[in-house]
Amino acid sequence: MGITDKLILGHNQFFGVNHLSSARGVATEQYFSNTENVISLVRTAYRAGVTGLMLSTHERARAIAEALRSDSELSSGLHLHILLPYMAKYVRMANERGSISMLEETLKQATWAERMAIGLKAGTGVITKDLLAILAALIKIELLPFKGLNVQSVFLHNSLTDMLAALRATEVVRFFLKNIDEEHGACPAFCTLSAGLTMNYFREIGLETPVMMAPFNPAGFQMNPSRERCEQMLHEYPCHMVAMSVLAAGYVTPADAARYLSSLAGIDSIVFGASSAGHVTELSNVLGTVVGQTVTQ
Amino acid sequence: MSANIRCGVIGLGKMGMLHASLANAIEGSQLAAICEPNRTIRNWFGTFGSNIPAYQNYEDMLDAEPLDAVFICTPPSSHIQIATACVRKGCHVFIEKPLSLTAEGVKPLVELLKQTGKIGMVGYMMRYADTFSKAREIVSQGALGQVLACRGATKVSQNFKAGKGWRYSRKESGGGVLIAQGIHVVDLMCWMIGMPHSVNLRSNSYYSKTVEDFVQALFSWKGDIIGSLDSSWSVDGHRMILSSLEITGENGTLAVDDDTVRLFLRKASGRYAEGWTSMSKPELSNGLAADIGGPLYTKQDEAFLRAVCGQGEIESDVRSARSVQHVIDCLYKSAGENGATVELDKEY
Repeated sequence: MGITDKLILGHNQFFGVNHLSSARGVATEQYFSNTENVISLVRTAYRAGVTGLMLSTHERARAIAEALRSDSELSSGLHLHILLPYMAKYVRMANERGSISMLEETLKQATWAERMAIGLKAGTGVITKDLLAILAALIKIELLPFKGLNVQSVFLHNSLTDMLAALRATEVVRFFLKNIDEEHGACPAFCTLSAGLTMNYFREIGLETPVMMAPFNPAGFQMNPSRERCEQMLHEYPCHMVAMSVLAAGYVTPADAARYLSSLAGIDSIVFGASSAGHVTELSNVLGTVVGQTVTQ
Repeated sequence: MSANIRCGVIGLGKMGMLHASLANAIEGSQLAAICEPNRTIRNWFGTFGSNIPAYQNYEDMLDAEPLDAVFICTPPSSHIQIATACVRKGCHVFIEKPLSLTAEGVKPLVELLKQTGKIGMVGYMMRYADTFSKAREIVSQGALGQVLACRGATKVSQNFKAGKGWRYSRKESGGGVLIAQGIHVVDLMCWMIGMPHSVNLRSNSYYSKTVEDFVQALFSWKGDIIGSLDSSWSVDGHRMILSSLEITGENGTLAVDDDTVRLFLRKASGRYAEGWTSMSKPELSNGLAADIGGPLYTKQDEAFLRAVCGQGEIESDVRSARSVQHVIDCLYKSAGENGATVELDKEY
């Protein structure tokens, strides 16, 4: 199973992420702290042909998932693409309690029913389990809020993808691919901010047509090690590529982004952020031309 | 870099994992060994790190492995002892910040590094953030004219109850938000303006109890320059740490944070025009070997590893970090004396 969506609405605006201005990110987060505003924007996007929604496993994703579940139009047609884990939460918890306590606390956060579903027995110490068993449990916990929704893919967060690539942790990469596919019936996928390094490693270990999400924009922003090298990897290594950061955090115009992306062969889908109905409509029109998406308004 | 630098990492918390990954991702270096006292974490690393040897204590690692450079990512109370052992074994060292609990006792390491010619870098990675590095360039070029005042801040929504572990034990961590986060802005102030001659600090430990959650500090420099720092890890609305600095001079004001540099000049200076100039991350950034924890960490580790090969300089060495540590010592002394003014020792 792969990703069928050509256009995917990103989630950064919902959770206060803005790479151009943290202050602006906080202001947008305030607006979207009202879940109705989130659903309204997702609906506008969906009707403009944006059939996918990226959602990180942020604390607030549970409320958004609940609202999607009770919306007949979106719950039936919209595909979710989950990005896990929500790294800021884990970094904060690791700062607060240390790595092992962080994992123990996280696994404790599951409700009794969730713990049963995951197979965590009462009193079982997390630290006695092997890493892959813990990862399996963590993935289950992170995905619980989305149960029953159309989860088409699960992306591993870029920090972890790139750490696995740097350490050449092939066993963990293969575990993730198998676990997401077999345990969750979704397409395993990888977000990266180190496309040169990570794609090269995936190619070396023989991953065939992995689903990747990586920055592609005319400014070369976050294209590591260089724009040229990322373009070369895209050309040489067959994969399903979801282009992200296409507007370079607002530094390039939608028209310039579309022109650049159209010049590359190999962009299969685009994920983009937008914080207003006008913005989402404009971007779905402009970026839709790159991936051959017909606007269905 | 053409060399093949063999790196060790001591302490596999989140910073240790980051440096271990970067050591393997940066061209010309490789992760050759790790040391972690916790058996569970060592076992987990076995799943990640394939055949990389893992040791329970650092002496065994240093005895068994021919290493060129070691990243020390243990709690600060152990930094000086471990760094000294590494340098004596012929290794260059990268020490996570803060350098130590206090500046006292750091001098022998400074001397040892000088005698051996080894690199001793300290993880003040904000010096490698594109925005702060540009800000320093602007100040150094004199665009602001005579500096008059500066205001710094760090904010993050992190601690709203008493935390667990070494970070909340003053004996192991040295303190709370000031030494964990505010210290970065103190370091930036020292880097851009110089060492202050006196400081004051007021603090509040409402949530953490054992260490401070809120600090407000005052600084005075030679020439009547004044400054302040407002730092907390217990404020709402900041999912990530936001660090900022505003420096005002005779010719204008420079405001810098993690995302942007905004400069207002009354008169043009060098390449900077009169009025507002704004620069954001996309225009200041360039390509990296890998971005795992943020570009600034990659740039920092690249600078360290280049310096190990004898190529280029490092921005934050043990000597400058010792001076920053002295500023922190004086700030905590002031807090203990109800905010009284504490003069810095000229030796630093």
